[in-house]
Amino acid sequence: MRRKLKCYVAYTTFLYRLLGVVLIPCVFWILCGILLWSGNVGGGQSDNGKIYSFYFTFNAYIVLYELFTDFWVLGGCLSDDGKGLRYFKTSCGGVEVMRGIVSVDLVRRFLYCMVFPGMIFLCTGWKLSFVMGLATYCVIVGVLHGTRHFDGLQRSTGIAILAQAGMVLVNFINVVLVSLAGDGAGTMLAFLTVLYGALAVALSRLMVRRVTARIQGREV
Amino acid sequence: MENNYVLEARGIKKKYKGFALDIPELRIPGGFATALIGENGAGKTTLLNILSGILLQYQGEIRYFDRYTDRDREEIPDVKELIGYTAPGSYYVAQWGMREVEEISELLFRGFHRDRFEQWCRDLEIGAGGWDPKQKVHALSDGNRMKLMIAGVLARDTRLLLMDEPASPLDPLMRDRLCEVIREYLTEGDGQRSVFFSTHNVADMENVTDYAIIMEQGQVVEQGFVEDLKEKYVVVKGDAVNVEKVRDKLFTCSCGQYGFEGVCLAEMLDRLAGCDVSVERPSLTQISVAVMKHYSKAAKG
Repeated sequence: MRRKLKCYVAYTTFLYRLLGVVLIPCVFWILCGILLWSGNVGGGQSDNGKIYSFYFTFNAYIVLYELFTDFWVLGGCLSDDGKGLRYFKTSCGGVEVMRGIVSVDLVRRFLYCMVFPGMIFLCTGWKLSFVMGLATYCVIVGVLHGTRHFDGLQRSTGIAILAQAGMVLVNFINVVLVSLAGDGAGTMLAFLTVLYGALAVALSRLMVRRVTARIQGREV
Repeated sequence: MENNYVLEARGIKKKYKGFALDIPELRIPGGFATALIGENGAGKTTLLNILSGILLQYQGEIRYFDRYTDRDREEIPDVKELIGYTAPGSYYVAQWGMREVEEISELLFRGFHRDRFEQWCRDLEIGAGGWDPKQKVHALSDGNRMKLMIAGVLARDTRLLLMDEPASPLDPLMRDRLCEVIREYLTEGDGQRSVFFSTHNVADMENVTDYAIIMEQGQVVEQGFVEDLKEKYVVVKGDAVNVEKVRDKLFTCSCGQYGFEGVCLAEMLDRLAGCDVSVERPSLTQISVAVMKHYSKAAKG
């Protein structure tokens, strides 16, 4: 893991790490934290509407943020003439280094998707937030499979709009499913957690495989 | 006895829509600078991409250093360590600074030397400061990006440099410096190092070229040591009135109001007897243009 972190740090610029990894998410989380702890979004039944709207706003932000940062750092890395891919292909350590970069990047994305749901859970005890965090991660990684073929911001942005729609739809379905489950809400929550957890692992592994396969000249 | 080819390829075939690379045999002599010459779309970049391992879907076999196969190149780390590659444009990510280029290169190649890289950056006067860790790749000119790639491969312990159009983005002074750098690289290698580069700037690179391979429409149409090629071909000049007598014997012929000039095989000179022509030793540029024109015309029928 240490070497993977080293690869990630070397591959990404200081400005990206400062702004994209630390400052922007931290400012956002602090603002969310203030809002949550101030009591504006509480855990009472009547506050569910507030939580949903707040949560969807957060998700809209995180999907766009993750797609933008992906374009910033790894944009088009799966395209035929991906950034830096030729350099990695002609090196002996290219596969290992790229695997490290993408793995760390996916772990970071996962953590970022789960921080806010964690905060909501701590403040409100709203268990569905974890499922929605996992679902959002799945949508983001699923969409990244597509955007990484494009090295143009315009096309990536077009896909980002689809991602927004996908995220809203998926999380809306989650809310409806848990609501419909009635007394079986706990079972439904567990089922969705397992489902999205498995999907998150599969999509992440496929992403790492695809990037390394590109460097090795094998298509997936 | 060990033969002295740094790279041998057999039956290399790669098809694209409207283009086919077909090279039955290719041998690049070890210890020399070999130029790959050809017009746009001749297949130079495709060939270099295959040899460097960027393009992996192709037919044929490649042997490096008389020892390793192309499969070894992908499986044995030492092989890629020995091969340095520079791309047309730049393969460094645009937002990297020179520091990131250095750090990533160190992770990618065991034989990468930071001190040597920084020294080459200074020597090649990259950007404003030579070595400026914060200098971004996207802020560099095309020529400086090429110099940065050259510094990157020279900072490693390689035995073969594969360079795709290294001279194109460079100014004339830097092209001259590039020739010096290649010559130094070969001299320091004491016969163990080789350079294989593609170029459109044949005249600028001629003084460093030992061996030339000329491609046309996906095929190697001529190859040999430059001195041998200069024996094989001759430049023929004569009065305009004689042009029709010799035209069919020349590879190329350009005719003005007073005279003509063309290139033909030296062995054809006997057939020009009595035509009142003068003969000169050709430059590599003249040979290349003549051969490319000849085969291009032949292909078009």
